Amino acid sequence: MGLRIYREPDITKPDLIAAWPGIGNIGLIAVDTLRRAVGAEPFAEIEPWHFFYPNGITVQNGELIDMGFPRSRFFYKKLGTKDLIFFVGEEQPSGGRKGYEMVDLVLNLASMFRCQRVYTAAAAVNTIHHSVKPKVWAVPNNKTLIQEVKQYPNTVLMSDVAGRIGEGNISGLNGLLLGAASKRDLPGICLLGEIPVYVSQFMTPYPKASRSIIEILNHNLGIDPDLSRLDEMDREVDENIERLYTMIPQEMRDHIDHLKYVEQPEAESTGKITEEDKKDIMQHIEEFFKKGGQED
Amino acid sequence: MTDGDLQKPSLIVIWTHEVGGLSKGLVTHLEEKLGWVCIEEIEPAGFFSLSGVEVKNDLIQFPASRFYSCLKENVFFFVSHAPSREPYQFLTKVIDLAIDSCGIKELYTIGGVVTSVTHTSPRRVFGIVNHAELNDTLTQCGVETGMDYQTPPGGGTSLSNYLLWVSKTRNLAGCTLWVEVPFYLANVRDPMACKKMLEILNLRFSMELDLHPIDIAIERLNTDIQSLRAENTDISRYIELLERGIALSEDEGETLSREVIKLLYNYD
Repeated sequence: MGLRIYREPDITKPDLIAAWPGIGNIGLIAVDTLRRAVGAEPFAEIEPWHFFYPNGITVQNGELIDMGFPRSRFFYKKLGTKDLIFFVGEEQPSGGRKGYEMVDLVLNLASMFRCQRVYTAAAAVNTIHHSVKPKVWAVPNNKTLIQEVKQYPNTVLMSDVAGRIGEGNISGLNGLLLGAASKRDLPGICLLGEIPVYVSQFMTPYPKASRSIIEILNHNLGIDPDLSRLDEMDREVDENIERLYTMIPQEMRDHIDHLKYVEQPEAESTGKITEEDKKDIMQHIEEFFKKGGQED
Repeated sequence: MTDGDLQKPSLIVIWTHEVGGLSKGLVTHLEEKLGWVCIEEIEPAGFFSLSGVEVKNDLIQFPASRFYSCLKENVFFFVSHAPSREPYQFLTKVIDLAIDSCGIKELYTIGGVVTSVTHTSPRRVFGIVNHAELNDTLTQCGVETGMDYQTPPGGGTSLSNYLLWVSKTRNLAGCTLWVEVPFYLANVRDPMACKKMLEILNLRFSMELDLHPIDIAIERLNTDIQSLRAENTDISRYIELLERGIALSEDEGETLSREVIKLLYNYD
């Protein structure tokens, strides 16, 4: 059980950018899009059989040739400004202990290549509208990064989010990796792209939030890769969301549409949306989806 | 400290969840003044949920359970998050490592107890021992001992008391120390409670800790709360009632706590 390194890249003090699947696959789409856009090349992977059950077989002429497993791969890219290692996990292992073993292996590789910083990406479910540009919640694992994070565009700390007083939970390995990294004194930041609470129930990817995360990474890394494929995906998903949105009862949609104006103080005619309004919307949405998306 | 004491190293246990920010206050001060070194660690797997991480004060948190030594003072420290799984196995492991790695002969745990004292009131420290002989040692340090208590039906007990019981079964003498924390400071920092605990440690272990920085923190907190009282007549009245020993209603107490948290939340 361990790391399989099939190539030793010549990289210097890279940053590690990692993601696993999650809500809206926001983090995974962000990281995988970026690694493709910069042309990163694979160089290592985690042997999967300790962590996952096989997901398929290949048979040729009656002979079992290969067994398929979810892959957990490392890619590298030398940039003029910064060398990068990407980690893309196709699945999260179930069980806390296996997850911890996996992040340990990721950090072992990070240590081997003297990574300076680690980023992970994930989703932040919030009461926003799907027409609004998602913000990014940035959560560092080291106090010294808080001032830096405050300077990021379109970004908030947990304490800037209404009702949170700087507290919350990041479930899964996207959070666990940073916790374990802090134990090794490796600074890191989790970038969580906002997804509307009702969209998170649609079981759809949400590339709009992935783009917000990529913009932060581009800002930090000083790069500007081509994101046209992501934008195309965003257009397709937007169409799907609009279609699904029409299935929500009109009364609830009227409520939700108020969220369009939360960040637009000049739209005074619609009145300010209060925290009570947001709680009301959340409750209605939860009840609606509990009923399987059916009206009474 | 006598020559006999040098042969009896003690372990001081500090849980990170303690009220009044006791853990952060004590750890920051002790680390700086004693220059302790991490000598042993308990891995989190099996004792803590690893399905994700908590965020507190805008930072990712990760469970850590570490032993520190500062041999000059003949004491060891164990600073840890409270385990969410297998507490008995965890506490047994703590005792095993304390005895095997550190040769511990005595154990002290430090905690806060929420009461209706005010932030300017002197703080009492209460002690529970697992060997009666320790009572005299604690009394000499200003700790109130000898209480009678039975947990009411349906109640629970703290991790510190659980550790005390586990150490009793292993014939390791120990005590839990509880310093009063005003209820409205339970979720923020209470430097006065921290100072009281450090005074006890100074007396018991002759640590000669300089407590001046804590005095500065106390003065700052008192000044800030005084400003809050000047701006908010309700808050001022609530604190005055407490100063007179009169209990607040639930709503009044919640309002006081909420306003103090808003005021002090960003304290380092």
